[in-house]
Amino acid sequence: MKIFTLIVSLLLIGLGTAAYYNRGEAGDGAGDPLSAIPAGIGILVLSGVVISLFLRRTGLQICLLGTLAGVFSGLGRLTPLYLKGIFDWKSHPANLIIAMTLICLVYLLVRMVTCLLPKRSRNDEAVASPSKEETESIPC
Amino acid sequence: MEEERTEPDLPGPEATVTDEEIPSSPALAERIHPLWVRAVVGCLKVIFLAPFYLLVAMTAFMGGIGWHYYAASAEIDLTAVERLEVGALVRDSRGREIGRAGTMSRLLIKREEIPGHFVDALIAAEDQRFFQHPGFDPVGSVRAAWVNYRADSIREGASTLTQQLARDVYKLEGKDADRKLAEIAAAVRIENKYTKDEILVHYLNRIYFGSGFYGLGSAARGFFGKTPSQLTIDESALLCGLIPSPSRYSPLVSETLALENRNQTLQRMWQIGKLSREQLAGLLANETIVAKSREHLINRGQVNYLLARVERELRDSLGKRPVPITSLDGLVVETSINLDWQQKAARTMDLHLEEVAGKAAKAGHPGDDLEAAFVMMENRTGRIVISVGSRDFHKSEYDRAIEMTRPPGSAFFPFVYAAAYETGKFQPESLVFDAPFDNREMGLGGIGGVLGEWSTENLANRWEGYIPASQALRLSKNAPTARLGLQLGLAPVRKLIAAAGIDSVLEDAPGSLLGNSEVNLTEITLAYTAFSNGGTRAPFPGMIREVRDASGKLISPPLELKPDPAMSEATAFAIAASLRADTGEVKLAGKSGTTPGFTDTWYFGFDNEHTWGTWVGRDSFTPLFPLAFGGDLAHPLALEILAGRSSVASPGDVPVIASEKP
Repeated sequence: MKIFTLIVSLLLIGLGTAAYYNRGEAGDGAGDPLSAIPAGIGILVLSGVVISLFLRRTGLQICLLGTLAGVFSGLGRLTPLYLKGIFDWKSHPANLIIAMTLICLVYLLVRMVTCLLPKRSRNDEAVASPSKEETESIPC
Repeated sequence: MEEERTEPDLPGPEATVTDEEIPSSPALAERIHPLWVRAVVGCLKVIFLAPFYLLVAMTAFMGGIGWHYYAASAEIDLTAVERLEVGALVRDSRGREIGRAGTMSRLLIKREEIPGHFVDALIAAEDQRFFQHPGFDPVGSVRAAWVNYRADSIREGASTLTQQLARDVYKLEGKDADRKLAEIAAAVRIENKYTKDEILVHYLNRIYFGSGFYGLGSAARGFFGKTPSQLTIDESALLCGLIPSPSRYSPLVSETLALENRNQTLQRMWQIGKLSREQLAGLLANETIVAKSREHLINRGQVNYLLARVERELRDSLGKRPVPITSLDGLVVETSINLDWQQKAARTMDLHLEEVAGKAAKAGHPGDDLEAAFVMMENRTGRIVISVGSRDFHKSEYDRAIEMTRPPGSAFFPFVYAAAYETGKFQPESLVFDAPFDNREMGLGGIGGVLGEWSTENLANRWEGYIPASQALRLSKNAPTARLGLQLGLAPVRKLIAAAGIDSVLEDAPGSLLGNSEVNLTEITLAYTAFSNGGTRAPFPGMIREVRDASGKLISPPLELKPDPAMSEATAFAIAASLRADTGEVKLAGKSGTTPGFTDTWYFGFDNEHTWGTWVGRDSFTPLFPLAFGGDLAHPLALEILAGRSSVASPGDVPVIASEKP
């Protein structure tokens, strides 16, 4: 799971960096700090990974909060795109935002699945063999 | 990242390192903590973590929306903030400059011309954290929301000065969330580019202070006859108090409201420490005097009115070109307006309405809401020489000359007679019957009295019996006109007035034959040009003669089509003959009009050069006063204005004005 989280954070950092330096094709424009927002979220997730080495649960919370912010800020960013607005929204490519939102959403979903499924099986197994589950549990 | 983790069987030293870890194995947890502890921890998790996550999600969502607007606002042209339109130079028929259309004739100021107390007043009234916030002010917004909630009304606005500037520059009027967010995004961009002082100057050069004054320089001169640096504290506070609703709070519209808002601004200045208690008391006791004379204000109002009207006409005309022109910058516009006549007409109207107000007061009717309008156009071209649409443009910008429609009453009769002559069944010599006639047959109601049941048109209540149609028209006889109209029907009248340039639709009711359908002053004046032009109306009722671009190149005006004749020359001559004055050298003809309820009075006339129309009434459709006839109100007003025309024109410009009875 750490590897997966690491990959997600690097993907986000790569995306933000590319958008920042890349002529605005993927985001808000080259040199615009706003383009680097995905990278900011990626750094947050990466810091969560690092912190989890020492404070496992705190690191996990940081990763979750970072990706949650990524999903919702992406949704907030995309919502007016499909409404009639003052500015010419259509000229703003949404690829960067969609990519960031999807990456964060996938991470959150995977997290939820890896949390909920083992927990259920854990509870089932706890009744059958209490000693075994202690070493196999994946706490969320 | 948890796969590598191995749970200890019992809490040891490492458990204190990772003390946030709650044992997830139920069996293990049971061994460590009793059930109630785990229940409490679980509840605390839900109580603190769930709202926290929700808060993060909501904040992120709102941030995402802000991100979107801010990113999109990167496209806006920030230099537009310092670019004020030059507008089009407008000249009158004698080449004198009237002003600039499309720019609101601003007097631009510099930072050093703005006195410190004006800045204090502005900050106190509009944006107390102006020098602290980055373009939008969440603290100010919350405070304004709280104040408004407490007062249960809108007392404070949440827009910062920069937001107001952005709204004005980028035309972001409106209250929907999209515009508001765009306004905030633009404001932040503006703050990033300009200093606070620059923003202040651009703001004060742009905003509207009411009564046609745009920008602080123009307002200070217009209201007080001063430059901004000469303003006193109470004058500054008065001006700043106008900003939320300049059209309502202008001291030229309501001195009471202007002073109330001035006092509010002074009190806010005291609240934020810009005034001492003694200063406040002294200033509140001051009566801020608006310096201008009524004559000056009326003249100034007419200039503003003309510029607004020319701008509208110009944009309409240029927008219809194959390649529309949207910017008025640098254009030079020659108009047919005679500024002297226009201003004299407005002043005459103001004085005349004061007299009428006196008459109304004697009859127990209010006189403070009387209004009038006057239009004069060239017979041949239809170009407008005078157009006064409001008694006082500062108080009411409603243009009664072109926007208002009202029933013309007996001023409509000439078109009924013209339509009758055009059928060939009636001649000016044809006899018509003037005898009691129940107006209710015409759908006009009324059960007695003048203009009521028996269709009399004057106090003499005299019936002429069989008289020639021309005489019936000259005497403005209701009964014969009603009988003639009923024989004729509406269709030929409709056809004739449409050809004469009246676009308003006649109601499908017999009362329309007696002028009960609403028409517009300018269009009916245009239609009267058919009588002075031998049956064909003037082509185009507009003010603009020609437009040139900055290089002097003529921008061709819209194609003027010569209209089809509305009536034969003989008919036009016959009607004109009926409307001519009886005395003096016959060069003037006219017809007054009164509606049955004495709500509207009219007079239309023409000489060999011009055709004019006058209306006197109230916006509220209430009676002027009993027996208020067009011949007594609108007709003398027209004659007074025409007298003004001859006094300002060079000798020989205008014909002798014959005195005429309505």
